[in-house]
Amino acid sequence: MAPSSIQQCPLCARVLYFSHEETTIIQCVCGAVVNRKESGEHESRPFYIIRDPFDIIQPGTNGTWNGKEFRVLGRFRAWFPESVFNYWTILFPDGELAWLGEGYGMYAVYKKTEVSADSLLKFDKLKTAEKAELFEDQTFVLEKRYEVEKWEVEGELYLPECNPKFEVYDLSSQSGRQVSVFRLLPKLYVSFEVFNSSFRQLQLTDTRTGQHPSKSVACPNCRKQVTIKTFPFAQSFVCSNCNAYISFSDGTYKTASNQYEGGAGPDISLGSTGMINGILYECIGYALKEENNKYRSKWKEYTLFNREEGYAFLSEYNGKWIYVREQADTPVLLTEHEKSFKFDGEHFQLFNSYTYSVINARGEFPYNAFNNRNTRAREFISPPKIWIKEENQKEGIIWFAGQHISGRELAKEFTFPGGLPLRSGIGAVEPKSYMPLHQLAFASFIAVLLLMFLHFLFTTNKQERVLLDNYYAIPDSSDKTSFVTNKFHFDKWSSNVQFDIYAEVDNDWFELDATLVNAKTGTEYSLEKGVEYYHGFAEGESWAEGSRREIAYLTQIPAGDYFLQVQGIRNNVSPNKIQGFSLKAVYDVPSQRNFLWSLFFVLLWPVVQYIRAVQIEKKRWYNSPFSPYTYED
Amino acid sequence: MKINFFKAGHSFYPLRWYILVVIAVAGLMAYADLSGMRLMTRPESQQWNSEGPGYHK
Repeated sequence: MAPSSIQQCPLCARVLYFSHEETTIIQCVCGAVVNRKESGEHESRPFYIIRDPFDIIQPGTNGTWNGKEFRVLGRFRAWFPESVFNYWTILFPDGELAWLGEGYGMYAVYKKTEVSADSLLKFDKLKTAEKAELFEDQTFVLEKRYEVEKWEVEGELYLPECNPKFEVYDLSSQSGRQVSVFRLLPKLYVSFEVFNSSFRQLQLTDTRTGQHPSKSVACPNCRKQVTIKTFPFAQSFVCSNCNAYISFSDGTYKTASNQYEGGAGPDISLGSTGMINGILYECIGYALKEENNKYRSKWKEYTLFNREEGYAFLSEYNGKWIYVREQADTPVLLTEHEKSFKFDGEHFQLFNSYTYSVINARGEFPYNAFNNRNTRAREFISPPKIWIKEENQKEGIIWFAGQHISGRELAKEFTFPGGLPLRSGIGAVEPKSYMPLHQLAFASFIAVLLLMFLHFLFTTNKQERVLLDNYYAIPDSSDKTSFVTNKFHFDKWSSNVQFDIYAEVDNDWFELDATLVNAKTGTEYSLEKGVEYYHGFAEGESWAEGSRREIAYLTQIPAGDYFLQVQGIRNNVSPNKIQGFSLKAVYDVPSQRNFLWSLFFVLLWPVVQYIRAVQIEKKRWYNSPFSPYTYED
Repeated sequence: MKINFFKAGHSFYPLRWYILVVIAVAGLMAYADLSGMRLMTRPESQQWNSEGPGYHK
């Protein structure tokens, strides 16, 4: 490995300092590029240089990753067939060197790693969505395979010897690991483990300020000048003068189609700005897309841009909106036939699968909007969230994560000259009453546990003090008996008294009148309770009704000194008249009834909600070819 | 920590009404358990006081 060294620029003789032993290329302010080889030799090389850098990150920018500060030394900018991406060389204080991948608002730290040499031998024949074992017992899926058609340098950077064109392979495992393999020479592979981050997480300082510069280009169809707001990320645009569809290829913009088809225009004004999730976006593009199937469903898609956070999209169908962003941390599907997956604990189900065409467009796009007829889009939903997997042989697999967003919220932010589009039906991820069954069941379970805990807590210290428990005879000469008890002291601020009454009635009745009298205030609490038991034999069957035992309560009795007046009344004309009755009175008893009724009410809501949700979900899935529901029509 | 179940996007947002129902029911049950009340019963007891409203047979 070559040490840090001081060199002289071969063109202007300025001093050039390689600040790290592994950096291989340094750019002089005069434009010359010096390449340090592994042998330690230095050589001036005719590499492309970035002439008018405009990016937020620049050499000298500082940031933080995983609690470690880093400094940006330089970069190479790689031009892929339909995208452009920066690989910044960053240096940590402990001398570790890494890359910071950046483009389209996505940020990731690339750290060198060693992968299985055997797996690299198979890379020649590896196609997107196919599997590779990069590490022992770890299966990866090739998500993207693309060629760097051109690369340019700025500052001081690490880039081993490579051809003017080389290949990059992006692979992901189901465990969340991501690896990028750079085939710099036919037999030279350099592998990096990729750690995704975000602009906010990196806490970048000493960045380049100002707006993303516009670029004026001549429309290849009408030769009029058109302003591109997000060059070089804009890979296609629509000429504002002749409406020709223009796409970027082989380093220049070319006419993709001048057959303007027409169709509904945008509802959001292009150029209007609005805040979504704390990010200020400008609406820079609009596309009316149509499914290439018998349904010919059309939806509108708006391209949004923020200099720091990159691109986002707003998709509108039947007045229902979804806010979508490309993601780096994504699900990994091992086969293309998978109809569901779990990601971050949420279960996503395949809702739709289609290819599409752009039938009307305005503005500019970070992808080639006009050659996507073979791109297969598969939508997996877990309302209000959605994952969209777009796959084609050229660009590989791209995942977008989306979330329902209300039209009203958007109307507050962006300019809708004709108002919001009318709403109809239920959107694919509209959160209307949506709650997955397992969440509903879990919430109900927690609620039941809470009730059990509270009920136990508040009934465990019940006194259940027996006030009296006796048999009381009724004199033969009378139809009633009555008595008054001694005083009881009730010490709880409020409680109850339970009366357990038993009378040996037989086709007869008995009535108990009980009155609790507050010895101090004279306040009375009274109840009447009948005991009836009748039975017989009719129409060949025996019957019985009533019971010889009854339970009655005096409830919410305040604390104080009480005595009890009791009167038992029997049916004196009955042939089976009773001789007496048993009475047990207990102070401060728990009521299981309270728990059971509470349980009923707490479980009623999920049951109703579930029935309602099933109806709504049936409607939501009505237009899906993957509906789990059956329909009568 | 600020918890607002009624803010769209909060992970408990779909459960917002249920959380309110559970709090209300649990509160009522706790009150009933503490005060000696029995939920969903027609009171069997009558209260009377010579100084105030009430009923006396």
